[in-house]
Amino acid sequence: MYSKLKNKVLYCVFLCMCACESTETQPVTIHDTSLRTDGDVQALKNFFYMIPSPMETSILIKKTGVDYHYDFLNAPDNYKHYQTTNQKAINLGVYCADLCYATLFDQQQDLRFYISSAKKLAEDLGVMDAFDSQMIDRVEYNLEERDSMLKIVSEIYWIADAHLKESENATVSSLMMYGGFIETLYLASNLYSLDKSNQALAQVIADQVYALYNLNALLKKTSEIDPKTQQTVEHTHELLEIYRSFKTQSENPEAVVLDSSNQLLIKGENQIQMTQSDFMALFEKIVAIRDNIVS
Amino acid sequence: MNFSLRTFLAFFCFSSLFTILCGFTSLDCFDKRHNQTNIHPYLHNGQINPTELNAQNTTSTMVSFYKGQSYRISPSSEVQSNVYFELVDPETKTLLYTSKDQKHPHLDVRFESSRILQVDLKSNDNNKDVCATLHVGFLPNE
Repeated sequence: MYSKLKNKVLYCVFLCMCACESTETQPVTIHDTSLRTDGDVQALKNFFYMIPSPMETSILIKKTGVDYHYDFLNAPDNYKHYQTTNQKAINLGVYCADLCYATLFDQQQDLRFYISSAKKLAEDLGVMDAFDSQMIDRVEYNLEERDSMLKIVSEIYWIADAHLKESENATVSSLMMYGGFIETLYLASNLYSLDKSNQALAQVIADQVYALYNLNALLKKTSEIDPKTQQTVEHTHELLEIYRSFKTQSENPEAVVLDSSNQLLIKGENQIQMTQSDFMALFEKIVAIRDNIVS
Repeated sequence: MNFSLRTFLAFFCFSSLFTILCGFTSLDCFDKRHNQTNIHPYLHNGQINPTELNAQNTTSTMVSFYKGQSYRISPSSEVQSNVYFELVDPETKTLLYTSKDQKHPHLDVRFESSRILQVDLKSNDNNKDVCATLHVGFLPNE
């Protein structure tokens, strides 16, 4: 009971810190997220950060025409090596990313392995809802229906995140996102190293700077609650430093209504160019970080 | 001296109780995840941050979007008409879109380039606090 109350108080403090701290200056398109004034009222705000799910990024990676490479993924039986809560949380994100990749390429056997490994870590973390028997039945029943599987795997990720936040475990949720992001960037970088003429994939890798920026900000907040997560801040900061050397050109966004169906187009070019030496620096760093978290 | 100690203890108890109650009040919103039906046929991006809103309290979420991808941004609350959202360029603070008084509560949006935008979730209700959640989905098959 005391622990639960303590968690609630810590969470309250976490929310207050989110509300009070303005974000520091960074390059690319984001320079300041200080509060915006509405009329005479300076609104009290809570700040959150959203990054694309591993499924969303994996879909973009697949669209670039890459093939399936099982050897780039984390071995399903590695789950046995993860002892601490933070290791389990990060590698739950890693397995979720591998699960998304296997699902997109209709690798049913691998998909089963990754569901099983992710389920074991989720159980240890108390996120049983995401992998309950009903969900596993749905996986088995829809294994050959890729569209249904995309929905189910996305739902697993959503339920895990919602359950963690509901149980006041935002730290584990942040670490899961970190693991998912690192694994997806690792995967994309390895695939690009096989075919450096794939410009679409180079663009997907370069565009990860936006998700990385949000992830770094999220992890900074998390590390204030749990100092043991400081290494994740350092890792994402090191990656951001590499991205800062990329050549960028940006225009302010402009909203254009496309038609009467309430669809909007956000115009404005944001160019990020990744040279081969940029990529090699990024590749070296992401391999080192990823090896560190899955070993 | 006794009076001071009693005053201090009373203040301490009150402060602690207030903090704990604040925690419970905020966390109540986590029990109200609300439905994601407005997201369909888009796939949910997997992250929610249920929050308590009132006329003075806005939630800002920094969301990263990919070039060429279609997204649906949808707020949800116990009473849908209680909440709306605004799309803001975080760099210039330019308001790009507001769902206030729009026909649809959600917005379908595409991006010419990958970028981060700020999505502010706001309440229409001046009289009471409402629990609200921002949902972002993407189209898997384009």
